[in-house]
Amino acid sequence: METLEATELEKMPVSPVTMSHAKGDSAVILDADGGLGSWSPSIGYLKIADLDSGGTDLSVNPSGTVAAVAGSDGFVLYDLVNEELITEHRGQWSSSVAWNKDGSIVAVAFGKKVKLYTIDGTCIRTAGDFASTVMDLSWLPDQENIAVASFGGVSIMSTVNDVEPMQKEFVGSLLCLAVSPAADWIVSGNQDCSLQVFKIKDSTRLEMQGFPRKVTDAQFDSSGLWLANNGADEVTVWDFKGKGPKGRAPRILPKHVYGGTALAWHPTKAGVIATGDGAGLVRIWDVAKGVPEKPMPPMKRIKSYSSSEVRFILWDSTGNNLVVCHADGVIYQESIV
Amino acid sequence: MIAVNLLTKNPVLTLNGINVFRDQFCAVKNVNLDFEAGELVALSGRNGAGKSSLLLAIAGLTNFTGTLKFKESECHHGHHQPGIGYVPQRANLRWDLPMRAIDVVLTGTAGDHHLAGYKNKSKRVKLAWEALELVEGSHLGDRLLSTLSGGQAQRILIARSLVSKPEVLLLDEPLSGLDAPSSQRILDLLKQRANEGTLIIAAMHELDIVQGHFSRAVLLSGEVIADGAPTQVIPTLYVNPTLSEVTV
Repeated sequence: METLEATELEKMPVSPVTMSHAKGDSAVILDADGGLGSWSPSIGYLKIADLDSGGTDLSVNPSGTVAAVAGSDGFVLYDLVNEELITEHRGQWSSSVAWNKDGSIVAVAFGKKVKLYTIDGTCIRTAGDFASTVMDLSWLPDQENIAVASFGGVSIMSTVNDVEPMQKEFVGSLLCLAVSPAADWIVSGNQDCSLQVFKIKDSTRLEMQGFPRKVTDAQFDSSGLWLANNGADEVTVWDFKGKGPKGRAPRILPKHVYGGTALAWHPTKAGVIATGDGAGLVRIWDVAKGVPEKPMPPMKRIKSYSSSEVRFILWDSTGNNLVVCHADGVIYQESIV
Repeated sequence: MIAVNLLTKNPVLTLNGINVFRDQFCAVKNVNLDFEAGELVALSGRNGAGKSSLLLAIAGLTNFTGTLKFKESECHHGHHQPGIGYVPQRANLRWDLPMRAIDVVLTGTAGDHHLAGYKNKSKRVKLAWEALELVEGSHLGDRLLSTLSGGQAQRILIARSLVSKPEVLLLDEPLSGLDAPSSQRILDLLKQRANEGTLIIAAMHELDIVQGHFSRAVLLSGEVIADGAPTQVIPTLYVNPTLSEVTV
């Protein structure tokens, strides 16, 4: 195990909420006040705009030019190149935003509905009247369907046809969603401290009840063979090879103080994941080297520059660098080569 | 069964050999539990474990066998026991009815024959507004149900159960679907009632909240599998995690 040196250290004035890739090696960061900032290794942190929307979620289009921002006071599209507002829709809670793969449409959770906007801010479709506020949404790989999480389960709604959404029922409040890259599984983390795993093609549902905390983050790696989730003092990684994870003991990534607060799979290396915890520790793991049920050691440990909760971890596109963002606003990049 | 240092001296509620039935199906069997005034008790366990069924039995709303006593009075299915309040799952109710919040709270007086009749109407209304005050919901009284947020609706349901000044308050998943501030408000309210001597029993999925706020946890899985301090009982659920198939 080796310890790495940080190459950049910066502190944001306001606590970050989430972070997304932008153009080149830069990242866009949304703060708790709805402020939008950029960060790059060469320049550091720069405030771009004060959107005053109470930030809840951020998604930047694939070309890195337009940020979609969700907030407690609505939804904003912002041009990152010209630094100007494209459109804003205020007055309703918006919890989640997601661009499709080609960046032509952004899906926005608006209260109990989902709205689709083009890149110029035109609303082209409003769909759904879900049982509760939509908590998360995610495009399926086919780019025609969206998985929507709300109380009572996951709905898979078409963005092109007026057909009834496919329902994956679960009586409870869903907090996060993950769709496998091959679109064969949908996973939800839930307020009842459970993980629910739905097979898309049939009615199979798997569950793990009894996590000590709410499951607020669940993510598939790029291969779709591994799923990681928080909810305990260890991060749990499930093996989705072959027929799926039913009955298989998971890999255990131990010793996350106050739980795994940030998870980020490597963009290209299957089974390699960076995790952060509530005490500011960041570690990198190669889960394929672990043994089911046995707590495994990390592959690398990142030198920590803050003892506050790790809020977000972002790999760059090469997978050679990690940007780490803490709840107290400390942000830095690590080389992982 | 795991039992951790529980010595109940003056039970306000006693369950002896309780089997609870939903239709012909035995949802939970052989429950033997004592509860004291002022306890804040969580019933936990996966969906179908029997949490809601046990609450319904205590409330007299479903069939059961065995002996269930509220203080010295024996409780029976189909007979409302004054002194026991019940708050159903919010999601199971119709929130689009053209009723005001205060109208819902008023229905909480329906089971009390002391408050029956036209001449007691003003007394009933006064009690309903007082109950709304207890949940900091006076400003919501004239609002239509359909305009309430999840947290506000939950407070209205709790106010409805408080009208009759219950010594035992049963709640079925009171935090389900609520955001963090709303949940905290409900928790503060329940803790306040418990501190004032009300026995609170709530079906709870949120295990982190149970560990942080409740004085006792009872784990169910068709029967009682553990009973004790939440910090000792809840971690027993997270052993050898596996994903198992759910049969609907």
